[in-house]
Amino acid sequence: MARFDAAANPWRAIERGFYVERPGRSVANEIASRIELRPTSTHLIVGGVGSGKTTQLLVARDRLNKLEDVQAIYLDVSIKHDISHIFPGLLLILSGICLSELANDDSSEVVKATAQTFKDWAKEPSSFTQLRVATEELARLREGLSASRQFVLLFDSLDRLFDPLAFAAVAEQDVAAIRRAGLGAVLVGPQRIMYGPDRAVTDRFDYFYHQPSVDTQQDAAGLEFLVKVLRARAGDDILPDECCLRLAGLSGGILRDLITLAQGAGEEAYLNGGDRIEPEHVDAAADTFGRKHMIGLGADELEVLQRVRTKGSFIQTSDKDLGLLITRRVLEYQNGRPRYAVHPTIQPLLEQLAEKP
Amino acid sequence: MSLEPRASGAAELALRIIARPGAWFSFLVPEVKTREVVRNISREVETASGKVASLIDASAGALALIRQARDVDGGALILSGFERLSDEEWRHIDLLRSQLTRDEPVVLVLSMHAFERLMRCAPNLASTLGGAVFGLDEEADYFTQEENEEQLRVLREWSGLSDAEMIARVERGAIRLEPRHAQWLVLLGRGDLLDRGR
Repeated sequence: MARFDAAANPWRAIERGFYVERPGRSVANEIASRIELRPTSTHLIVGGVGSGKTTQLLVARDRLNKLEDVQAIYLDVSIKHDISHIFPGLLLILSGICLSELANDDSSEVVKATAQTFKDWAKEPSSFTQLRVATEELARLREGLSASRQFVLLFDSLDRLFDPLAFAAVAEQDVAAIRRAGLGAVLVGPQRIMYGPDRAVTDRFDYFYHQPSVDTQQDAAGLEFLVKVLRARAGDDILPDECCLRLAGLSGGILRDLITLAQGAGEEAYLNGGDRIEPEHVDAAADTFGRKHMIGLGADELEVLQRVRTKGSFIQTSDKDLGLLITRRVLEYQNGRPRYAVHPTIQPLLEQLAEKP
Repeated sequence: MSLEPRASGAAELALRIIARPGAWFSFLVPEVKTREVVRNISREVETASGKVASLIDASAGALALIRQARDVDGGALILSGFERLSDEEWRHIDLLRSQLTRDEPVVLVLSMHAFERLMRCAPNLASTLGGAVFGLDEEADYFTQEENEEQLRVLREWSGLSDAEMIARVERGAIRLEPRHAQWLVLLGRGDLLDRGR
């Protein structure tokens, strides 16, 4: 059952050989190819919660580290810093800290002194005042560590920022400064910036990638990909083809939901004393999952969901509407032109609600 | 029709937790019952897993929660005290979700009202929780002695082994644990042997 642990670190899944390449060209491959040509380029990935952005960052890191003279470093910003207090300069300091960790006893005095400066800033961020000074220090540290090696930093978890302005401030100042210091940068940004006036922040990056959900209705290759993701974790002795397809459809094309639903189905099989997942286990897991997504919805939100369910129309006009997208009750597909649908696990619940007199 | 989450008793929840090491669970209970339910779940999980469960009160907010969780070594983590958290505090927990990632199960015991806030303000945490959200079934809090015995009878029949023979094989490492073996060990109160066959 641990093979279906959706809450586990994605790097563990990659390490265990569970990673399956998306059809077409994956975001990870695009980033790696572009950085190979332009090592100091900047990249922004945006996608829904659970769409596999962290996995793409980790795969991109591994591919970049296979290149000669490129060193890519993955960094979960929320582990290093309480990101409820994010400030311009933070990514610059964290970049300095990451590079400092590469310094050793044989490093030059300049490198050791610069590394210490970054450590002091990290300990006491209020002592950090000038972005320009930090940029120069970072460039000095990079040159001191290696004249030939290119460094690329991959910053994760900034997609969780609730306030798009906080992300925009960092993107505007830090990303440009990191590039000026001669490093490449890849950031994961909040989904909110896709909607409304904040979208302009994408222009601050050389490249922008949208990691969409897989359209299980209109993308046969996508559906096949989801089945392969499950097959990488379980054979048909545990998970028959019929259940695989059913899980892929019920996931709505969201990778984390796919794994979670498979895990839930496995749990149902286990509780019934079985070793093999049957369709009724999948349905039970989907029902539990859907019920969770129905919790806390107001009458106005239910009305929007019913409209999406019956007409496929969704116009995001309020924060609550955006909330429906971010919590994945409404799914947006970008297969050709945008298409909206409710999450497949809440569809039957909404149908029953509509039939209720 | 009812849109309530599926109901479960503490004993059934403990079995689910054993089935999914590393997963997150939410157990929705009336606020006045929280303390009692936390006690019941920790007892059931400890019996089933053979490991001590750690209880953490989250009422002091995100940073205190992270600090306390970091100090816990192994075993399930049972979190409660979410009822008074503001939207802002939930967002803060959501931002720091990575710091709560661990290899052992995490169980949130909270009221429906608090869970609604979680769903509204902490989408990343909600995603981590997956579908494992259950309401309290007060009627089904424990398996009765008869239910236990009936399940054990089915398992003995399935394997052709007695309880003692099965335990001896697990102790010798001569058996690869399947879900039914795990369930058997849990029913016998020998959850401490679960790690041997995994």
